[in-house]
Amino acid sequence: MKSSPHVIVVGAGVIGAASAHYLTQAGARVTLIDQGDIGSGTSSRCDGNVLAIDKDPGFDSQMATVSQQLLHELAQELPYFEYRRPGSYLVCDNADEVEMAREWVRQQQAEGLPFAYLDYEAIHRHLPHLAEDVPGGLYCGSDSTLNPLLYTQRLAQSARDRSADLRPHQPVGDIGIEGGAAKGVRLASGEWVPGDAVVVAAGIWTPALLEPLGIRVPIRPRKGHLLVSGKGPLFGDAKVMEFGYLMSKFGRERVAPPDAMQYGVALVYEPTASHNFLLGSSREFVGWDTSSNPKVVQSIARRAMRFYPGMKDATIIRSYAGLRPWTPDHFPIVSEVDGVPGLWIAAGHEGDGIGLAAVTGRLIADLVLGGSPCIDPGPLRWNRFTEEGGMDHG
Amino acid sequence: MAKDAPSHEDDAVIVCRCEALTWGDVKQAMEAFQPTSLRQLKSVTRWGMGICQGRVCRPMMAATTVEDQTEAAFRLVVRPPFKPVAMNILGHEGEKV
Repeated sequence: MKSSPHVIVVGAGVIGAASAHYLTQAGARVTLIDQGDIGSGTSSRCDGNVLAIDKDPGFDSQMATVSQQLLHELAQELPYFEYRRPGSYLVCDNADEVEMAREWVRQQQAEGLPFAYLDYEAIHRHLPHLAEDVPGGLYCGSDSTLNPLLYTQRLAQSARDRSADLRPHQPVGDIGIEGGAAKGVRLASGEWVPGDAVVVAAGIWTPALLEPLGIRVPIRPRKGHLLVSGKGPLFGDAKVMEFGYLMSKFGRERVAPPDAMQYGVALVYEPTASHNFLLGSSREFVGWDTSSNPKVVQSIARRAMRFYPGMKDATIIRSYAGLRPWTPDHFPIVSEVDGVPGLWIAAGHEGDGIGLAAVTGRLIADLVLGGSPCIDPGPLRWNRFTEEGGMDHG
Repeated sequence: MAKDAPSHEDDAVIVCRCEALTWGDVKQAMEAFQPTSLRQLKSVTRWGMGICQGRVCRPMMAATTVEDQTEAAFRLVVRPPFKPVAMNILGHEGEKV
């Protein structure tokens, strides 16, 4: 590849913006294209999680930890995006979860990660607003949080400052293949944008961009709701989630009320720098609808009050929903497409796009520009889904 | 009206009371981020993200800031519960008391 190649990044969400940031930092010319404005899709319908607490020990937690370190560096380098590192908590609903939480902490500590189990007395000392019957929990000290709206904009702004060409409101019609290699994109307007490489960082819209080339990737939209409180007293400064949604990792059934099970509702509490808090979460496969469902909103409010009875008097001012780019093994795709030199995919981060944007952007820059990769890219190959993904021909 | 009443061109004027946002803050964000929609401007300044959800500030922001290039699908929309609601009420709406 040329010493200063021109890389076209399709999708200006957090993944595309982070890719543009690291690519321009490494000396590439970048054109960053989006169908809407910067950060107008999933990256503006999410919370600011940067978590290792829920990652499997091994590659999963290593990828998250490298991203946390890169983010810590970005926070010194870029203007303010409300980055803080208060750690995060998982709280248990019942004795069965306590047993699994102890096991989870043992596994993580064996990997050298900063986890601690908190018994009844300790969890209530750390989190005094919790319901009295919460039997225990755990803490991860490396977890951080940020404002995802601002973070995405700061990354795009940084790329623009290094002469990236930002092209919002430009839907991509086709990815141009010549002589078997990616050579540019044709915008819906008819304009041809030539480049030396094309990075598809289009989240849930990725399959539709690749489909015309006969390339299938199993990314599906998985809907999630968030509730926003009015400004007021917070219920602690760190992020708190319920342990229950990890129970499937241990082959155990989660015990929760029927409405929570129906909508995949699990507690997420996230205090923001603006002195309100966000409440999540829900997980549903219901197509492309981003409207807010009052039943799900109600279920999230109930689940929050189960852990925080004092929230009954807190005020909710807004709710919204976004679509996570789900993959079957919950890992993103960060990979060149075999047989199509110059065509790259960086998508499928489900609920971890904000947290994994730094490591993904850095890895894309390493791989596209031929540097040594910051993590092993093997587990993130595009064609690892033997049953659902792959190429129609070749 | 006093003749030194502030106009929206004074940097110190509060343009979004809920988020204590001044016209100077907005001008700075316009320059730094070059937003192409009201929604993008909102995401970097927090105008309209407070308790009034844009009821007070939106007409002025729309008239004075961005020439919105957004397609219909990305326009600002209102979201439930539309008015501030206590969680106790939200969580038990529809139940027999």
